[in-house]
Amino acid sequence: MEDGWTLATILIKVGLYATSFIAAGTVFFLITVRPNGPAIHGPTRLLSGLSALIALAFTLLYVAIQAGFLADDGLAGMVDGDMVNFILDGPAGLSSKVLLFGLITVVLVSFTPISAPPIYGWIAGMGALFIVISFTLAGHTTNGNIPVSAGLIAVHLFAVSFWLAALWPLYHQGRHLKVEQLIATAERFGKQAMLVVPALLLVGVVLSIFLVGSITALFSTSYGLFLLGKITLVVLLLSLAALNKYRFIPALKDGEVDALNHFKRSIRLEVLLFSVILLITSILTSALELPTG
Amino acid sequence: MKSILLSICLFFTATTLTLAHSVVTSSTPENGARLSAAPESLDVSFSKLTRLVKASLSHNKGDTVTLAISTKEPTKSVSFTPVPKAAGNYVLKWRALSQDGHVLKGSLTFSIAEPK
Repeated sequence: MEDGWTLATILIKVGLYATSFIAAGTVFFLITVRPNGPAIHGPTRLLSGLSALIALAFTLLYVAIQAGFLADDGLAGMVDGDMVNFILDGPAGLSSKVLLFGLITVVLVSFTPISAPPIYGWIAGMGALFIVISFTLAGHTTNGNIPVSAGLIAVHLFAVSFWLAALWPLYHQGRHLKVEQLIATAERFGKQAMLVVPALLLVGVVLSIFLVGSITALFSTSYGLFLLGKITLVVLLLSLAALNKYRFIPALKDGEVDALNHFKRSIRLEVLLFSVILLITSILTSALELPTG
Repeated sequence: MKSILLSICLFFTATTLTLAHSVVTSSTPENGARLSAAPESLDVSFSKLTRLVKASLSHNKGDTVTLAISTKEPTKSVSFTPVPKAAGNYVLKWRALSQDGHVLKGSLTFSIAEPK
């Protein structure tokens, strides 16, 4: 049962990460990329709202599982008031409260009519920022060993959510809308990504150096090996993104027959890679000790 | 895609998970100690500030007692008293929260010899 709590924490965190990042990222995507027309705007907002709703459930479940782990008293511990209060009083509780606030804001705005004033979009953007910031308030990076760790993590997670959440609107356009619309959106996304991806990489490298502490630890500890696995998958992800930007989208513009299928397959593979990256991240943040102590 | 999935599975099976235990720097008695007499107290020191939430001591003949925790504040060392005097094998288990919000678990075992 003891290791069951760790396993449950890992699995819940994968769901929590995925749905929270999609909820926040779709808002960032709508604000920055501004895809044309209700045919893409509406479904993307729906995705945002539904993801935020599911993330709300995951957040509550996460707190309950942490309480159960702490109580060490079977499933009953998940609703033990004292244990729940211990969790809510700590950094995980603060993180969960800020996350809930951000998610509820995104849910409320997502289900307003598309014709609502633009201010609603900025309110959703504030909610999305709260979602991102919530993940900087607990975990290994809050130990005080890393300078400006909260800022670095926030930039990293903003970039991750922006990228992850863009995949579905791009894929949706590729399946259901005109190729011209997909090209226009993909090119706008590509321009934003040229700013976001280097920030993601730079911050990822800086955080990795501080977290692992040495090259030796990268190869000789469980934490280091898992991080190495994550870095490898990120390199694969970047390769796919580069293929999309420099090969498949130009090929789509040139009217090449198989270009759309290549693009859609590439997006599906990116989703798979993101899923495994989130699983590794969840293991890193839930079940492994930092080599640097 | 299948080869990528296979590589990922191999990576996970080849790496051993070190589950998140609290880092104990020292304890009295030491883990696995065989004592000739019952200790006056059970003392555990942690590498970082730790908020202890729950502790229990189990005897091999079935009794488990919940131990009183002297402070609710984060601490680097904790002491449990009184300690049962009966001979046998004991397991001390605790649950705690780290400063960064992780739930920590830990245990130590010791035995007290029958009086001669």
